[in-house]
Amino acid sequence: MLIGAGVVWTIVLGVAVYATRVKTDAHEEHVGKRLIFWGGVVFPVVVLAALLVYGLRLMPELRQPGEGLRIDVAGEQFWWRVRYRPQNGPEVVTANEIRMPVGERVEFALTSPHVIHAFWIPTLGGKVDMIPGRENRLVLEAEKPGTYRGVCAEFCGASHALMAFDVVVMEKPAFDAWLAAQAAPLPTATGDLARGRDLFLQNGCGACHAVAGIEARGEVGPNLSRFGARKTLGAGALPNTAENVVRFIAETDKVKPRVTMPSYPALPRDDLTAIAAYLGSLK
Amino acid sequence: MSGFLNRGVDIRVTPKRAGLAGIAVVAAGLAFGWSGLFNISASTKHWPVTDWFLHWVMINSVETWSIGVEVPDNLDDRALIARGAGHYATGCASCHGAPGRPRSPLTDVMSPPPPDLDAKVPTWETAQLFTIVKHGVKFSGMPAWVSFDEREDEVWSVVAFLKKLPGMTPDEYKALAMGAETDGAVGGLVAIAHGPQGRGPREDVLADCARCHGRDGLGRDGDAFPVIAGQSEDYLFDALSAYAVGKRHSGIMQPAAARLPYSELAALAEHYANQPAARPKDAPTPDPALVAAGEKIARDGVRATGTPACQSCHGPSASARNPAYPSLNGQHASYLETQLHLWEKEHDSRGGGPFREIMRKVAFRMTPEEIRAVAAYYASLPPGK
Repeated sequence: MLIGAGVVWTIVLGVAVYATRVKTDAHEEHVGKRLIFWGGVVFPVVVLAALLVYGLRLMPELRQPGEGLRIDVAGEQFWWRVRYRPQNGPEVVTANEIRMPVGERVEFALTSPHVIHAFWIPTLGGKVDMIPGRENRLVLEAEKPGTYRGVCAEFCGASHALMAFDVVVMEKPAFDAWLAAQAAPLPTATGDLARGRDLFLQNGCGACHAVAGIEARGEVGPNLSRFGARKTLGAGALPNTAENVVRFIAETDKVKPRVTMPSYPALPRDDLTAIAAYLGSLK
Repeated sequence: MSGFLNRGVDIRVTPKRAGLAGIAVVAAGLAFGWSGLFNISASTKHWPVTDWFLHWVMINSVETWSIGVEVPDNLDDRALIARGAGHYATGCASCHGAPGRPRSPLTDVMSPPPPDLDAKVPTWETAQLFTIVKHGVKFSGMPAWVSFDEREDEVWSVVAFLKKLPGMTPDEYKALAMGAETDGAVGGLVAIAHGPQGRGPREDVLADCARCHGRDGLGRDGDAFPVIAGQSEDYLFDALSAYAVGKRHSGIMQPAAARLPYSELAALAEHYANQPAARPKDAPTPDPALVAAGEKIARDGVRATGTPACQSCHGPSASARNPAYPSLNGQHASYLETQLHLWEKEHDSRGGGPFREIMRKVAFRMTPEEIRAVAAYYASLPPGK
């Protein structure tokens, strides 16, 4: 197809050069008419019709269901709720990062509870809207392992530009091992990390954020069970470092305007650091 | 000039002459003001015609600006009247007097003098009273309500009291405004002269608070006043401090807290935190039909509206919580509802202590049904942390 496009491009430019540089005087009328008929009507109709047929034949394949793994993604304001539904094995809930195996057709079920978002991983496929009250399907197949960036491609509010996610494409065995590990219990926090966990609970973070294995079951905000393993924080708002976590909790609204999470400027720095260390340890 | 002499008065008004005349009038007015000859002293009363004109304008204005005011249907509620009365004693009675309590002689030499409410209240419609109490009156001593934009509910409590004021006996007034205290408690004014008395709040400061909240922190008159007995000391201090500087909005609590030093606020917080939590004797019973729904919201939150589980911050829970978060167990449902509704506007309409940002983000998304259910649930719990 690239060769075909190159040929068409060369012919068009060749004709343009010929008309402006080589033969600049007027053609006879019947020659001009014939050129317009063959070059301007017949040629594009034939080429575009062929491409349309070819394209339509590809469509059913795009609509084919995936090969096993299904991932539910909901567009929240302004983050991504992600739920893995493997054919065998328990469901895994996470947020703001998607992992998928290479060379497998993975089916995404896309929804939104509030406003329209659009799910777009430019390297892997086209964008698909996430529309309240509907479930849109998208099947993607990654050809190469690596980390790709996904974004929200439909303006959804003040922090639309801060609503991104990483897509980590892994070799199949590594992915299976990763998914199985997600369902395994987290190690119990000890020492300073236990203090961070207690502060996390005492300040009510668990009302919105779930962390597996402790009394934090909130579903309003992103699940933080494996937060420490994520590359970014706040759906791509900042790199995931302890310093940035402290900043995000203390001045959430400044980092991410109009975000649902309240800021906690009144929490002592010491407590914020302890909470950040605890969250960073959740891998 | 010859035309003038020949034909009597014949001054032609030209634009130039009209302009000059206007400038002359303004200049004369400024010269009069500059000279200081006008006597603004209150000791010289208004001329009758001025007095009539000012009142005529004021009455017309109040009538016009109270168009569209919706009168709530709970103005006969004893709790509402008691709340208004408690504030009236400190905020209004010093100028307007109260049943059995003569007005200060100071008010006789005010111009205009504050009206005798026994006679005046019946001449106004309810919505007009609301407009006057909420906005005050320019060119008189009548102030607007502190936090008039945020706390219309408090304005209505004073209006409810005013409606009952004409003909009220001194004893009725005492019960409504003083609770178990005496008139000497009003404003805690004696205390200021006496200075600190050591540990605990000063006797007269406590007495002033106790007019409404009781010395035991359980309030009175049903659900007129929130239960503060046994509340977390951190929360009480944060709330009082926020009231004092106007960060938590209340035309009743802000004046009360603002006249006290922080040391007294801390002593009051400690005093009330140490009172045993209990259910006030005449507290209304929460609607049992709502309790179960409220419990579910408090435990699990509501995903659809983004309402987090209340109990993660407010309990009840076995594990420790941030002491700056108030306990809600056994609190009056009406108080909780009012507070949650104050947050309905997304701006900081309720205000509060340093952690208010959390509830501002949470409460404005709650539906009225969720608010009623959650309030009933917490009211149904046994009091205490």
